[in-house]
Amino acid sequence: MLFRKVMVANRGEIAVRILRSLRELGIRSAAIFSDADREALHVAHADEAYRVGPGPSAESYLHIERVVGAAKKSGAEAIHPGYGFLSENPEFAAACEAEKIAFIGPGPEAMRIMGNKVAARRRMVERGVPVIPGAGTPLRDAKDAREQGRAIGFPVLLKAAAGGGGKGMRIVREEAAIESALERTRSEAEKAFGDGTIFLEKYIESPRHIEVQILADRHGNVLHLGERECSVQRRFQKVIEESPSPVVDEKLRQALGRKAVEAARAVGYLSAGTVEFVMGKDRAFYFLEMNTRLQVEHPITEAVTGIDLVREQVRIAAGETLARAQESIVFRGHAIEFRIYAEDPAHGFLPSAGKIRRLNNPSGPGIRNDSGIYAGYEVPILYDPLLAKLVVWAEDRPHCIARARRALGEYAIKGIRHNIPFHLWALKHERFRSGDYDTHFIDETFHPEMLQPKEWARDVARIAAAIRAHLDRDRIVVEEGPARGPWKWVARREGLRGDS
Amino acid sequence: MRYYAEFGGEKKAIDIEETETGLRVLLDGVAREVDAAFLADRLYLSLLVGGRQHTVETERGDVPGRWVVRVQGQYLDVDVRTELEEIAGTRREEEGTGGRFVVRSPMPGLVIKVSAKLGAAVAPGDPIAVVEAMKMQNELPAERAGRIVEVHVRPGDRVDARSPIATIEGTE
Repeated sequence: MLFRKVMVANRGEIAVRILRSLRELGIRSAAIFSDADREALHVAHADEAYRVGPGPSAESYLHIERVVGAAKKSGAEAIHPGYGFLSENPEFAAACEAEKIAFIGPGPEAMRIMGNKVAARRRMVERGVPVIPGAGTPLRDAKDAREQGRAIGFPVLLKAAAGGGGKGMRIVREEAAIESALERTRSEAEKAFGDGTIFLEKYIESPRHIEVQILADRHGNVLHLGERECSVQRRFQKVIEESPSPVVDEKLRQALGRKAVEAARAVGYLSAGTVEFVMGKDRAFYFLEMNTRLQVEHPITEAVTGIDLVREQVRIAAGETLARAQESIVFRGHAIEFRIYAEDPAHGFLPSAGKIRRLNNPSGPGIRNDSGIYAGYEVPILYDPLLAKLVVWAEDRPHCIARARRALGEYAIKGIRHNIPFHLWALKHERFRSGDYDTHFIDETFHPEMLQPKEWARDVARIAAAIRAHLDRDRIVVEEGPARGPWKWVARREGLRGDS
Repeated sequence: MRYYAEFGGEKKAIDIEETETGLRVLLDGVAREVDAAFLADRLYLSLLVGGRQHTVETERGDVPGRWVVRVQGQYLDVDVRTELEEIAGTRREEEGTGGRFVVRSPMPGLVIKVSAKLGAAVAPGDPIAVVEAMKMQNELPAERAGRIVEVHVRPGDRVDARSPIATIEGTE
């Protein structure tokens, strides 16, 4: 017996997406909302909705007591956390359990282990899942660095323990350079972070971010649903994802899948999860981390496998057995997801909140649009800039790219700036088209000037703006007094148009 | 009727004349075959330029006379002035006059830090304030050298796009 009522503890496109599966399952749904989200789409899609607090997420979507309180009030038997917010918070999962509300996701213990990079790495090493060589113990001195470097093979990466986001790192290409590099990295780390602890690990050239979707039930069954290529990233944020990866063949897929299943088994994982790997040019892959939740890019896996991951998560949480065996999972066609962000790519990806004045969603063959917006909706400044996800499916990659260009061309979001011009640019780029890209793709190839329009487009824009100004000027006159001049012309033309 | 349309620092004269059959458009004196029709309640403009079809979105920009045009998936800010405005030189000075320059927020957001101090000297690139929007923090720099003569915001303030943050008086 599945649940009678499930609460979705999230907002935006992911809340809408989960509500859809609940409705298909015949389960009553409850949403939560902050004061900034009373008019949000997810509230309108749910059967019930409960206020959890003021706009800032710390006082609403991240407030465990209020979210659990709302679930109790609604009588929900289970909570789906979506992604972000409380989705990977073991305290939240434990708080749900304490109230006898099923948490649709893994248990708190698996979440805790995978949430701790050192513990996760140790567990993976024990179970034979490959991790990036090195990184085990801090470097003692230059001699230690030379020895470790020689053992792993150059190039290596020196990494400050307290660093992050690309800071406090140095690539060393040969043994002779390691001593001075260590000195500099250490002194920089001491100055910047007050901690001179340095690790050494293998440097992965042209790294690709490849992740494997897994599903695990309470009865010991663990499946993998193939890989997703997520190397188009900006500031460690994924922008475009595709499945299958252009560089993964069937043999490699099976190898990745086996290791991902092993990683999930290593922590007694339950529900849907993602094992992230970094892959070098030589196609050797290493465990990075496991995301213990549904991911933003899950629809591309749904597109190529035909499996509704949210539906599976709900069934697993209710104690049901996975309906399929690994051999019966068939990968069909190619899917690409484009994250539609409220960011202006022509101006350094500056965030752009405001009112959606007009919205034209793409549709047609092979198109899925998971969205949290509607025409007239005011995009709040408080939350993530993700507006929607365009998921494009076709029988092969070239057709998928062509279809994506068509669909992105149909997409119109008026009133705010968004990154669709960036997606159109990426789809034209040779490195993307050939599949020969890595996580440095955007940094190495994109500059905002590339979105500068061509001369003819500038002229079209000038003409359009002048015509609009010309006609608008007269529109005001019309509203104030008798029609004259160009307005007559517009009226006549519109009349003609009506006749045709 | 003559207009001047400026984009990216380049200005072109556009003459629009109405005829019995449609529009006659001259771009910098060169005749262009243009046909225009509004679609969907004036939200889109279908432009035929030399037979080529462009569905163009046009909307008012954040300053008078500015139009935001979306063509071929790209947004362009076009400033349009009438001939009269051009002759009278009534150029809409966005940032005030008299050597004063207003640092404005490029987007709506929440002011989380104000570095500008009243009376302090600033150089181009010096931080003025940090505005947060959609979980991203954006540092607003002084675009010109000078002295801070007004600070318009305090931490915790909500600002709109183009809200004034601080006023700098040039030192030159």
